[in-house]
Amino acid sequence: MKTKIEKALEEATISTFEDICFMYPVPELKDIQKNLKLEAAAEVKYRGEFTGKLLIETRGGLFSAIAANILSNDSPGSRQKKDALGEIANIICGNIVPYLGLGGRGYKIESPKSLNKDELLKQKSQAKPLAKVTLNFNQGRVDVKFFVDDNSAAKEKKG
Amino acid sequence: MVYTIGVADLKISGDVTDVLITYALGSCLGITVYDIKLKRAGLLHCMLPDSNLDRNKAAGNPFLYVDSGMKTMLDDFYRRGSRKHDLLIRVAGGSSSKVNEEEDFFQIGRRNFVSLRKYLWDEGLMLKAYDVGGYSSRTVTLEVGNGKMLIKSKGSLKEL
Amino acid sequence: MALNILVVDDSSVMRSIIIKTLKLTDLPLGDIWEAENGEEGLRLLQEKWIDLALVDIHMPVMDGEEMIRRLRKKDQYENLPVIVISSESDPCKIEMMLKQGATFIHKPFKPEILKEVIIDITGVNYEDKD
Repeated sequence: MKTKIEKALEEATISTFEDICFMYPVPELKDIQKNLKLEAAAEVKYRGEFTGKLLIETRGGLFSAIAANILSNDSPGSRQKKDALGEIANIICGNIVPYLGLGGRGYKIESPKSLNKDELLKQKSQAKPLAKVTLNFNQGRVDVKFFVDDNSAAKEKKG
Repeated sequence: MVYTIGVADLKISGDVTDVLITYALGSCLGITVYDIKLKRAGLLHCMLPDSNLDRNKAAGNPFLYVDSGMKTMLDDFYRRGSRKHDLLIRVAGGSSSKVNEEEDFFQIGRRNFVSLRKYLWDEGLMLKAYDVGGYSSRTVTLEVGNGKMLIKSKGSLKEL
Repeated sequence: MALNILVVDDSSVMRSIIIKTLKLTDLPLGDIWEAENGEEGLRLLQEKWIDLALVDIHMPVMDGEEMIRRLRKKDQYENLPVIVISSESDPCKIEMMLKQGATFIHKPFKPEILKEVIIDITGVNYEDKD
């Protein structure tokens, strides 16, 4: 069964993709989609009662499709693609932070940062996310992971 | 004259005495376009979000799908002299087949609405009003003379 | 009356979304100015005639909260219509924005919402175009 924060992360991700990118998730996650190569990632850090970050990864062409849909432009530039993915991460993070203690009060959300391969490898060795969601779209796949630096403290707060 | 638009169908009229009506919109969308200057009205009853699902089917009947149905309807308006900023676009329907949305595996209604929004965004158009989602079926009426769009659902009537 | 609008957001993609939405509203638009942070926004307010400001909260250099606080201190911007468009979910921060006379739109948003809010707070409509 999904926790409250996992459910919130899924809802925030779906509504962000629907409202901003005009994409809807498809329920079928085929084997080929499970094994897609990572193409881009971005993170957004937050600070407040808890600190942590939201990490977003795209596979299978979604990186380009996000910017293409937002800008109604079939060939978005590299900067536009990175900016679009970062903004998506930023919106989802802003919607999730209130599910931590204190209803999100006093949190500062930093500007999104695009991650290169070395930084991504570093991410792999990090702690388990408090919540994660994988969604498949006709245009590719997204994985969103929400990390809290002190994981146990956040869980305790949520009861 | 009153025209009834069936599932996966379209009617466009410029006769100010006509009324267009479509019944029992569940997950389907009833999309109306009204030209306030030319007093022409169109009502599309489409079923599925994206014509890329089956291009052959879409070629046979474009009104099955949101995107190909909208393209056909708008092309007709433009051909007859409509200008984008004179078009009022409204939509109703897109309800869920299950009371618990999580059980509605395919969420066709929701996908139809997202697909319409994408089409309009790419076309540079905006919805004037919408009444979508929920769990009830809707009946849509559009009066060609004044563009009035009425929605009947669960015994109540409202203007959109 | 044509509205001159200032869009303040550090994301170029979000500024594009907002500006495209503004153009789709069919409201009477004048000039649209863009700024990447609150400091740039305040500078443009000094230099240009602005009727409405659309401001993000989380931005580098100067955030939207600070920008609004500073502009409200100036007599000429005391009543400037301001719409905050942000994913901010802190009820205290949102309450503070409302107290400063701003209207809040939560990201992600549907374009129609922005149109409704602009009509609501500025009183303009597409009929004003003619």
